[in-house]
Amino acid sequence: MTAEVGPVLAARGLTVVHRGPGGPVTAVRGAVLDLAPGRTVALTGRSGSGKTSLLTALGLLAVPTAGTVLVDGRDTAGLPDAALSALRRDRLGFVFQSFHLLPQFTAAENVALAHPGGLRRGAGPARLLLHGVGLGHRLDHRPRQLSAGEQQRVALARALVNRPAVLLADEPTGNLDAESAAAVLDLLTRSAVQDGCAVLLVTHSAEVAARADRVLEMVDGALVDGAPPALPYRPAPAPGAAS
Amino acid sequence: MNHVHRGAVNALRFGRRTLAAAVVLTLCAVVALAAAAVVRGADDAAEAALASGSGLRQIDLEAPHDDPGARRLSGTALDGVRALEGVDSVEPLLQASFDSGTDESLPPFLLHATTERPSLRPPLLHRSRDAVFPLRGREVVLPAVGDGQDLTGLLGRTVDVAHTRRTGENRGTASADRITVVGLYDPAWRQDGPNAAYAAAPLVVEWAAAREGVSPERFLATRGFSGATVVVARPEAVAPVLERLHRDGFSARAVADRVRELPLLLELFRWGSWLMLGLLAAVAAAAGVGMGGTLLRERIHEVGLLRALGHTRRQILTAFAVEAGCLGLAAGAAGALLGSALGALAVRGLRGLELFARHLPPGLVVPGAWTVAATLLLPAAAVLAGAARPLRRAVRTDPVRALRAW
Repeated sequence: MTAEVGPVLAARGLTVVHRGPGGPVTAVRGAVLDLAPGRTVALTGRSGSGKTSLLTALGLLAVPTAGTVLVDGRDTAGLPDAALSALRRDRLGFVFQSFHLLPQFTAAENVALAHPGGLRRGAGPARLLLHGVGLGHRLDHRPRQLSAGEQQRVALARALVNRPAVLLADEPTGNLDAESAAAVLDLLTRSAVQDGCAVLLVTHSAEVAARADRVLEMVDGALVDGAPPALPYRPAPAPGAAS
Repeated sequence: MNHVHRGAVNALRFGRRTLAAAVVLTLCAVVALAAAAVVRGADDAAEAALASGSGLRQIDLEAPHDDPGARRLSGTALDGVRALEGVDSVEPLLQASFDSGTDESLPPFLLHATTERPSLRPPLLHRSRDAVFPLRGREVVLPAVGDGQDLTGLLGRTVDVAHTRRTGENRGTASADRITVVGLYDPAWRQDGPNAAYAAAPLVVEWAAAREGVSPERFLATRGFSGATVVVARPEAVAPVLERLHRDGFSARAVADRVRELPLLLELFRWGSWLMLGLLAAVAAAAGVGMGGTLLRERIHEVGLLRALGHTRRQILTAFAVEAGCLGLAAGAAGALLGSALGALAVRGLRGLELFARHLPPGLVVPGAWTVAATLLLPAAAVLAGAARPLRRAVRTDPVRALRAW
């Protein structure tokens, strides 16, 4: 008998309205979503359909206009900035399409930035993680010295260094060639399986979406169940591990 | 501390961007501190001079050369001053020139016989008897070197000299006299000019009266002394006695004020120091505004990322404040170090000039602790003040919008 595990991140009636020059624009309409540990959810949809707005609201970066986001079952509405920051620091990990690495820091330092212990105490875990994503030889390189694929792997390590409960990835393979995209995707999905991390993956790619456990689609701000994955999901082996 | 560390790392990594501002700040700090060191040296020398004697208890009286309305320093007038409450003594000043006359065995010289004043006795290098002062009769104390001549050979000798006696309108003749040299003083002492020779007041009055063609009594009654030093019992008595002297029509001034008053050029150093400190603050504030602006324009995405990674606004603000403060601190520290060294060298160099020699002390002069602290901390404080507004705006930026700026 297996115990039912509750969602680590949930949205209830989540609505995000942006104030634009032409009047208010509803980016997300009453979204209801559960992200369970170890499961990957792909979020697809046309550009401007509200995917990123939903992601930033789920990531506690934007305050929703209505509805709420629950982290570990706890309502985050009305929490002060420091408490929201602490939740992001301890429970969430972000991967961005354009990597968002700080140019003045090395790969290891960029990863350590997200560690709750900061640059000093995060140095050890950061190095371990970079070894884990196959960048053990690039620890002290600056972002400009890394390829796009390597930069995204650094960004992925940064998202994982705080051992997050939820990984929110916005088009993580959007700027990568096919080979790098596959490597990053393997690492991402492996984290979900091995670390029990819930993954929400925003993507335009049907191939990427096909590797998720569930696919959701955003249509004019509303969340609808998407097509079932066309390809069976298989976690990739860790770099260097025996096949 | 993590955020302080991150700010310091950022400051180090972005050091090249802020190098120009740091160099300008350092230069301002160096000039400000060097000028402050020179002024401090002069102030210290003045205070030391006052503390070593009775300078804090002295008042200068001047004859009415420039102020026809002021009272003459006749013998009677000085007797009146002596009688004032709180006055210890009145030491008149008068000078009368004399020379080596026709005695060819003497080195040729022209000196100024000056009334000996107990509160301003010159430092003796050689003496013919234990207690040289007070001088009596026709005894004199000469500079060891005067009018370019080595006068040490005259010590203990009684020699013939000449002074001028007026014989008519614009006419005069040399009048012989005989003096005994009882002491030789350090020629570096220039209280009364480089060629002063000290003698008892009656002898100087006699020669000065002869130069005017009148008797000493008439001279004192009509011309009087050229100046006088009034010594009061306590430093606190200076102000009331000074006020009374002014009320009685004398041209009077506290010696402490005169000694503390520096030559114009040294005063310019003081103003220059303040000006450079002001400039330092202004440049630092401008640099802070620039750094804050750069954060808003070019690094705002960094704020967005840090917010996404769970850094609070306060932590981000701390890190950027440390980063900005590091620029000011580094410039301040470099400026304090180089400015102190340059100041010490400047004092040494200026002492070699005639104009400054009397006003600057020998040995190592360092700027005051408060000035060093101000130079060290002012740039950092001003950079932070300049950067405060843009920094606050940056950390308040919506993180989603900030991330879009990438």
